[in-house]
Amino acid sequence: MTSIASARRPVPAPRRAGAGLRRRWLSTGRYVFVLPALLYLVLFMFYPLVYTFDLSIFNVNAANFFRGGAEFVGFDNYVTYLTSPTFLSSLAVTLVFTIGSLLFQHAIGWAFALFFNRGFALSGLLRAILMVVWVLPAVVSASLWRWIYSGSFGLLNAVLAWFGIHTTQAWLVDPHTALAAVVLANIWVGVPFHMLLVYAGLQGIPATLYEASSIDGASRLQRFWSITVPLMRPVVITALLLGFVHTFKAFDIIYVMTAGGPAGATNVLSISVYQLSFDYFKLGEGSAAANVLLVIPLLLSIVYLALRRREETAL
Amino acid sequence: MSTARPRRIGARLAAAALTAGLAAALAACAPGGGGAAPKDEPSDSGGPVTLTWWDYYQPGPGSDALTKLLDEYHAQHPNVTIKRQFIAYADLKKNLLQSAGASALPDIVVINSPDHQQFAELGIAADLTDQLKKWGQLDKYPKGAVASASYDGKIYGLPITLNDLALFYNKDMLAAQGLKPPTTWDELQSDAKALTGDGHYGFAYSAINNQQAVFQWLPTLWQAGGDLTDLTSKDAQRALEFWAALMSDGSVSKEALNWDQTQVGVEFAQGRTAMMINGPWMAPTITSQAPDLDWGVAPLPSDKEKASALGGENYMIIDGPHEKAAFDLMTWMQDPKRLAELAEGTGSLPTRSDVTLPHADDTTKVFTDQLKVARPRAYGSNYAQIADAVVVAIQSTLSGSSSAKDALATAAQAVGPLLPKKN
Repeated sequence: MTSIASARRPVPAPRRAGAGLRRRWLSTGRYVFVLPALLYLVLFMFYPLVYTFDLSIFNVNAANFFRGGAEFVGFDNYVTYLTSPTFLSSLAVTLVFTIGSLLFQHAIGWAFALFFNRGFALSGLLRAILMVVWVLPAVVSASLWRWIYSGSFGLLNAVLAWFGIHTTQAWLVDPHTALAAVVLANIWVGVPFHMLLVYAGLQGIPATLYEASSIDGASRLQRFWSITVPLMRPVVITALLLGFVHTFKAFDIIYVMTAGGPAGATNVLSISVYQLSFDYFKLGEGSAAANVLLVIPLLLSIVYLALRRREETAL
Repeated sequence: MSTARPRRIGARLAAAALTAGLAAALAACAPGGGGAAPKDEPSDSGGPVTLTWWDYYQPGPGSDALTKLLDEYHAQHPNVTIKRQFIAYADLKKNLLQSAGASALPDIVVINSPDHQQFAELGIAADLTDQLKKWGQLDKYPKGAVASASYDGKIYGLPITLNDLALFYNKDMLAAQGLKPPTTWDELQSDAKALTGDGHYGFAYSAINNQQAVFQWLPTLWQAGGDLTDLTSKDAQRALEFWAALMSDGSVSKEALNWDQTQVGVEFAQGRTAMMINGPWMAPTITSQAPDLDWGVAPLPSDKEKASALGGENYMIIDGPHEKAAFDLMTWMQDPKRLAELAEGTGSLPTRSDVTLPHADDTTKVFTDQLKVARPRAYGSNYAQIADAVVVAIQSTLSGSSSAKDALATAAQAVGPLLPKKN
């Protein structure tokens, strides 16, 4: 980027008749090019957002969704949802699921990325194979993990038996192990994504930096801490943020593996959103719940962007 | 200077993350979106009509029987074309709600009878009270079945088939222990224990995290003399403790907490359980999956009372331009001979008293007899939410994370306000 900018020679401004018109066309006409994106945003982002908010402040339910006549209730739906006996436990489950998944996904993703960054024979093929996990539909991987965790004929217990641990523990139906089991499955699903982002970031660090530092006598560890880590910081934060947003609203993998059970042990917030809207037809409360689910990652993202801006202006 | 590159990419990715997050979270709950379906065909005027038909009959004999009947109807009524669509049962509610938002509803839908009142409350079902009275055959249907299609004194459809629950047993396994099918709870418990052995369990039920678990547990609750309206009663506690005891005995696999009724049927067909609670729809599947298995069906064991749970399918006609054409099709399908074909294909029992199944066997007889003690889930339009609260009680007791008493007390608190108000 730097080389392109410096390579560009200053062009003398041509002074001709009609330059004012042209300038005006440039300043207004260029907005035409923004239009498709703008339309898309309005139709698929802004409209649903407003509609969901609109639903969430009325007591929309089965009796009045089509017939009309839903009453304005202000923020009652939010209060009902936030004070419902399951909300806090669901939030806790969601946070454990999200943070537990994310930390391990990212750490393991790093390890793989560093490994592949050494560029050995067949590394491209191996990387592609790893990505298959990420590409698999969630229903497929969740069904696979259901079988792995099965008590009587699951793979996990069979593997444990090789090590002399004989158990018929049914991992997904015991409330003490279900959440950990779901998190482990989700770690497996998410590792390739983090590996890919970190790998791309590592590839973007110029080799010259490493060369120069090794000439200066920096050790391998020093090079990692003083070059790789600081340069990778933005990538790491981005991967973690993306991962957080993605995992926080995860639905399909849990729905297929446990549907939120046993006894609410894996009942993440996204499942309650689905239940309220599509099982109970309580669309008002369901929309309020959806907005709560939306706001938490949103706040995190805003904090992140604000921090970034401060950091950039400080430079 | 080179540090600027990954940084800017980072900021852009962050922006992308924000938008992606927003979109996905919203997609989860925004109804509508699709365009309105063209409804420009002449309605009920005798001109050509296309009827959209939704059902959740899995591919198999039931689905084939239905296809055959619908083809026959089209042959007799060439101006009526029927567009049949399979909608998975788990998606039916969501799809109906979403297509209602997009004005792209089907014309006639096969639905699970306990859901009928919820749809009637939604206002998408056509009120057929007058037409059905004119039709004059309502007296052929059991009152309870018609009640499942009624809401607020109006009738919104017709019951098609019924089903209930009974005890399936593996004849070879019982014979090996010199046992007959159990008739009481005590017998069930001791037999299940005796039948548990190497590689197989004595008994199986579905305690999965959805309504099916409640459907399976309700007979036990009713047998104990309890009901969902009073979950803090000693009887309710006894009913749940009985199920928990079967599991802590080791007679029922802990996996039952993740088995739906189909999976329970598979366990039985594979010889991994000697007995199970299941419905008549499972019989054709077991016969085709395990043709060599020697099995029978017996009434559910009883305690204070005899009880089974009543289920079934109803037709619901959508309030729309094709109401009359759909009504004609529905009543044509309800002809006793045709209904018998459909019931036999789907492995369920016909609702009409004037229908006799041509190939009725002992299994059919047991399920038909069980109908006498089978009760509907008549808990109003909030049943889905009530059932979820009860599932949590069942699962937390079975998994040992809570006592039956505490779990039921929690459930009772949630269920109380959801029950229909007493007059």
